[in-house]
Amino acid sequence: MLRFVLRRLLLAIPVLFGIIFVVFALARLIPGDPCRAQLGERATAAVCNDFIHRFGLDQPIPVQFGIYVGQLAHGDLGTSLKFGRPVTDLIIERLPVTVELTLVALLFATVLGILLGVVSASRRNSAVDVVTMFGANIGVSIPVFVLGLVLAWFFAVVLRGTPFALPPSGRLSSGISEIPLTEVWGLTGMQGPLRVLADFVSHMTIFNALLTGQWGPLGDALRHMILPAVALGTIPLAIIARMTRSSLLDVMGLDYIRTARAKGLTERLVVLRHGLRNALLPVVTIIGLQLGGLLSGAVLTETIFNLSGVGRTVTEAITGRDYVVIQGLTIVIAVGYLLINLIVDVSYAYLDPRIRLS
Amino acid sequence: MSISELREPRRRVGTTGERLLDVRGLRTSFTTRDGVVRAVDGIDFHVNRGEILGLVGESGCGKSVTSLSILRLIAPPGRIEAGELIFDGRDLLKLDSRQMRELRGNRISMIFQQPTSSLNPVFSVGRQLEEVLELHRNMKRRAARDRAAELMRMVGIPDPVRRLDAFPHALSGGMAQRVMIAMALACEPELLIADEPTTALDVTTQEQIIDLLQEMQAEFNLSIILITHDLGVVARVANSILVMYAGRPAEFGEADDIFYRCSHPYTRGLLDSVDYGAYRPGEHLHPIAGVPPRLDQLPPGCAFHPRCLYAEPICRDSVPEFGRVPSGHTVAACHPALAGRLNLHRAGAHASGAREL
Repeated sequence: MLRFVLRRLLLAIPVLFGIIFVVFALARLIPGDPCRAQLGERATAAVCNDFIHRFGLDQPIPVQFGIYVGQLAHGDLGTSLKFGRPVTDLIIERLPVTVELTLVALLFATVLGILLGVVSASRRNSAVDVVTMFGANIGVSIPVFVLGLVLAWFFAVVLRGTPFALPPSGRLSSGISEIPLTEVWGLTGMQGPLRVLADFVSHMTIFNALLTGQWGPLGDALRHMILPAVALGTIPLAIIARMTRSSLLDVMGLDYIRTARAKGLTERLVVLRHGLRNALLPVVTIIGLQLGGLLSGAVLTETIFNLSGVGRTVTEAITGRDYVVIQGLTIVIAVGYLLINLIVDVSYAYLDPRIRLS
Repeated sequence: MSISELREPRRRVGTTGERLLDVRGLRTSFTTRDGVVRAVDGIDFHVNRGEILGLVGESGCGKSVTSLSILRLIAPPGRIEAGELIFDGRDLLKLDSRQMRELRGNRISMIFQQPTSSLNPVFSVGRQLEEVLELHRNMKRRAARDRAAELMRMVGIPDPVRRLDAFPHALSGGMAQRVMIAMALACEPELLIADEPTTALDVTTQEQIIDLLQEMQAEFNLSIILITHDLGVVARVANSILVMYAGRPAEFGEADDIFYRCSHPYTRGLLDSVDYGAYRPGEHLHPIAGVPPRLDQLPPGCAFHPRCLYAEPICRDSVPEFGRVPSGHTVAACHPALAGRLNLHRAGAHASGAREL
C-alpha cells in the first residue's frame, strides 16, 4: 500500500509541473494591464512603469516564469499585486472557508445520497423510490446559483421571524466571534509549518469551535453553513443517490448475493454488508469527481452567500489581473485536486482487494 | 464403458430410507410482461436421509428454480404458487421468514454453478466462512477462524490457515468450489443442494469435486440434491433420480429403475444421447431431435410430444398423469404399455420403436 501511494505521488510531480506552466501562461494571456486594473484608468505612464518594474513585470516572460518557479521551490507563492500581502497569507486565510464549505457540502451529499440510494434500491419502484429519483432528477438539473438564490430567498426572507429562518450570508452573526484555537491552546508563539496548519484550521469556524468547545459560536457557524452547503451539495447529492441506487441494484442481482441469502443472513445484512460495499466502488469514483465540480460551484456559492473563500478571491484576482494570486490559488487548488484523487484511489484499493494486489 | 460399469454398488451410511425432504405439487411461476410463466409446474419427489438425488434435464427445464424454491430464495417477480415442501416433518412454505433464515446455511445449504462469482470479491474467504459460523453457531471471531481453517482442510485445500486470508479472485475455480463446499458444510447441514457444481470446472477438477461431495456425504450422512445434466455423474453417485422436462417431472425413481427400466421416452432419449466415455466404431450417439420449448409457449398436452418418437394423438390433447409404474417408480404415465419395451430398445432402436406405434 505504501508503495502504491509513493508511486502515485511520484506520478503527480510531472502533472504539477504541467499545471504550473499552463496556469502561468493562461494568467498572462488574460487581456488587460495589471497596473491599470489595480491603480485605475487614470494612472500615469510613470506610475505604471514604476508599478510594473516593482513587481518584475517588465522582465521577458520566460524570465518571469523562471523566477516564479524558483520562488515556488522555496514555498513562496509571491506577493499579491492588489493586496500587497504574501499569497500564502491569503491562502491560509481564505482557503479554509472553501475547504470547510466543500467538506460540509460533500458530507451532506455523501451521507444523504448513499442513504437515499440504498433506500430506493431496496424498495425499488415503491413510492419512496419514485419520489427520491424524481427529486434527484430535479436536483441534478438545478444550477447552483438558482438554487442558492431560491434558498436564500425562502429561508431568509419568507421565513424571517420564524424559528426556521436561516442566515443567508457570512459565517457568523454580528456580535458573535470565535477565539482562534491558536489562542485557546496558547500557540501564539509557535512558528513553522505546524503553526500554519493551526492557523489554517482556526479559520474554519465550525472546526475551530468544535475543537475548542465553543458551543455557542458552533451552533451559529453551523446555521450559517446550512444554506450554502445545501446549495452546493444538491447536485452531488442527486448524482450520488442515483449512482448508489443503480450500482446497488446491479450488485443485488449477482451470484454472491444469492450465496449470502442462502447462508441465512437477514436481508439487511445482505444489503449492507455484502451489497453496499461492492456497490460503493463506482460511487467513490463519482464522489472524487464531484469534488472538482464542488470547487467551481464554490465560486458561485461564495458569491451568493457572501463568504470570502478562494472562489471569490480567484474571481476578484482575475478581474484585477492579479497574476500572482491567480497562479497561487490555482496551483493550490490543483494540488488539492491531485491529493483528493490519490485519496480516492487509496480508498478504492481499500474497498476492493482485487486492486490492492495488482 | 457402459452404464452398469459406471454404477458401482454404493456404500450406504446412516439411517437411509427415512424421508428428509418431501416435495409435493411444487409450482413456481414468474410474472413477465407477456404473462405468467410456470417455470416449475407441479413436481413431486422426495429425498431420503443420507442419499443423493440426481436432478437431471436440459437447460431451462426448471432444475435451478426447483432448488431455489426449496430454500425459498425465489426473488420477485418469481413466486411459489402452490405445493408443500416437507422438510423433517415441517412444511417450509409455512415457516415465517425468520424460521426460514435459521434453516438456510444451517440445516439446508446450497452450492452453485459459478463458484468464483458466488463468493463475495471484497471479503477474504476466511471471513466468508466465519460469517456462517458466527451466524448459526454464535461463535466468536477467534473460534470461528479456527473452525474455518479446519473446514478448509477437510475439503482438501492445501495450506488452509494461510488461505483463510486469500480473496476469491486469487482462487482457481476448483478451489473456490471447495471453499463453497466448506461454507455449505460449516454447520453440518442435513441437506445440501448442489446446483450444477461442476459445470463451470474443467474435467479433472469435476471428478475431484464429485469425489469430495461423495466423501462429505458419507462423512456427515448428508442428503444431496445434485442438479446436473451430466448423466455420467448421476450414474456414478445418485441413489435416486428425478428427470424434468419443461418444468414438469418426467420420471422419478431409484437410480437403477431409471437407468435400466425407464418408462418415459424422454428419459430414454437422454440416456441414448450421452457419451459414456468410450467411442466404439459404428456406434453413434442419438441426440433428441429439436430443442426444449420456451416455457411461455408450451405445446398443448404433453410438453414433450413434438420431440417424442412415440407421440400419439392423445399426447396433444391431455397432460399425462404422474403415477406409479409396475417397477415401483413414478412416471408421467404417457405410455405405460411401453414401459418394458423402452428398455429393450437400446441405442438405434428408436426408429423401429416409432414405426411399431
